[in-house]
Amino acid sequence: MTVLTDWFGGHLAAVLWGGALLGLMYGLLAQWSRFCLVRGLYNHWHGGDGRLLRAFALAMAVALLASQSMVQLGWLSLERTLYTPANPVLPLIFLGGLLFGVGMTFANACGARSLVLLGSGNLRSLVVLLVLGITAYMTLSGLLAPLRLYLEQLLRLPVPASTLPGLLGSAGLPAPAAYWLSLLSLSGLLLWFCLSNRSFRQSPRDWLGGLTIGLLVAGGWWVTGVLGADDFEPVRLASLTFVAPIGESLQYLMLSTGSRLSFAVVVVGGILLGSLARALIAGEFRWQSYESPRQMGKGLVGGALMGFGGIMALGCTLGQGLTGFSTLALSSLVALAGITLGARLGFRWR
Amino acid sequence: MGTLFSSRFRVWLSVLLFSLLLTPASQAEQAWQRIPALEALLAETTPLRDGLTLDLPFVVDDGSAVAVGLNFSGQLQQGEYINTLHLLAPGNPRSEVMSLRLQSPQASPAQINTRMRLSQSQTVYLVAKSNQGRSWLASREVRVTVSGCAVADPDARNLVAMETPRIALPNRLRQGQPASIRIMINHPMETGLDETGERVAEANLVQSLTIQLAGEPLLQADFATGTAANPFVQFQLTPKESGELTFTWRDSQGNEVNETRELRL
Repeated sequence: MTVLTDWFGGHLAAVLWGGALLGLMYGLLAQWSRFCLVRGLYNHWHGGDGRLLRAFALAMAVALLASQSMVQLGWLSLERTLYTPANPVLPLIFLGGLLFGVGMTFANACGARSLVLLGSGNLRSLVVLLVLGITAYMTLSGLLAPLRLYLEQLLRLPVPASTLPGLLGSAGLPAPAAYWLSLLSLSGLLLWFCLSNRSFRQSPRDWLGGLTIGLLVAGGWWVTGVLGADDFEPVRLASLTFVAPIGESLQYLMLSTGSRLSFAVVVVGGILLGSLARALIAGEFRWQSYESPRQMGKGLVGGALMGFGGIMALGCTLGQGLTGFSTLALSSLVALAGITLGARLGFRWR
Repeated sequence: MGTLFSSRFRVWLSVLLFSLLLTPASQAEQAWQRIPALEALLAETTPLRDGLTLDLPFVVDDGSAVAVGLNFSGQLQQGEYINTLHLLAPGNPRSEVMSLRLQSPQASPAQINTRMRLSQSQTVYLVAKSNQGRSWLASREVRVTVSGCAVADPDARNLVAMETPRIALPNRLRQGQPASIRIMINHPMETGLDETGERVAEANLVQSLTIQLAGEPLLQADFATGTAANPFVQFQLTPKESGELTFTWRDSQGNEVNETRELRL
């Protein structure tokens, strides 16, 4: 690794280049495969087409297996990440996921999808992203932060563990058995769900998209955990996630002389560039805008719900659904349940 | 308009407005004089501003370890060199963060990096002093927001003594070429203070790091409550000749950790 980091001129620069490359690839792939949980759930529930949802499920399985393989190879440890705090406030995470789920149906795309759509010329996404980023930072450190901290205190329940294997372990299962049982049953279930479907197997746009995006999540762990490993200035472990990073990117635009470029911000920039490039090459770039004030209102509310909910849920569809899930965090399963239920309600209300 | 305001009146009006504009600026310039710790450090001297910089982010969401860069690149007279640097955070319960003594011209006051604690939004100050009694002052306002995703290190609480000293020397060292050295030791830097600055437990701090090159003192860092856990120092060394580098850490419980590295040019 030292050869690679020296070539970049230090591990911090290597992490930034790695992040930009990951973002670029995500932008290209997601623009091409139309990877999107909102559309996936909608098509599955209301359109009778489960391919996009299966692409997301495949990405989950691949992210989980690839990330845990790196852990088993001893390359990095995913025990202490943002998704596995010592005492996760699970009711708040569920509530956050619920709000995020409703918000993404109102805005018709989650944070990552909005970035890809903006790269393809969709100005509705620009509005959603601006509102999402500002609301996220309001919740993280601004006007809404006291509310978040109050809710955290109010809803704090004692949780025996912060990961699924930990929970099974506290129920009496020996640690290795709990780990392998969680890993294999979750990935097996997801793989069976996607691969048992013939139309999914025959749609390379879906399975290739899901496969590669799952690998990109593991790639994010590798960039921050292996390239970014340093005895003196370790980079905070992270991978693809899109609520706080969108807020951080907006903040970076405004305060760049007094802040340092981070992994999260270069990933966001990379996605915009990647999707723009792919949209231009494929001739899919179109300027699009809101057609009615009502539509814009839904976008605004959706963006705000995603920003507020996403921070409380510790992540979005990608952040919790893929990245957090790949660490077997309990918070991710709870957030995913919230997001799915929120989407179900959102489709009914919108 | 011409009948309403005479030209003399307009001159006076603009002078008045202009001086009003300047007032807050000159007040800000002297804000440090109201801080006792800084006044004591700077005593009777008027600090210079040019050449000393304090590199800190504008907005910080994890105040427990904020990377800070200290950099002196000012004009020095014949035979003058910077011998001390003091980093102060007057908004913390205790303002002392760290003092560095540069005891040899081989240790450069340019590009020093470390990590500090910031308990709230405030202006951070850096004072540099030369052997000829001149002083420099740099300041930077930092906003500290409530922490969102800070992952606390649960192991740090169990750590009571200094552990795992780490020293990174560059692969290639050349005579007269500045080279960056990074030094760190694991320690919780327990202040024993609560959020308001009341003493609730005994302090347990790494007090100092002293570095010698070939038996001659090179640099001493004195750490305080404002130094982040796992004290980290990075500085530039311009070696004159090969020799043995020795590193000594001392903590407030009287423990001592020693490390040596061979410096080959």
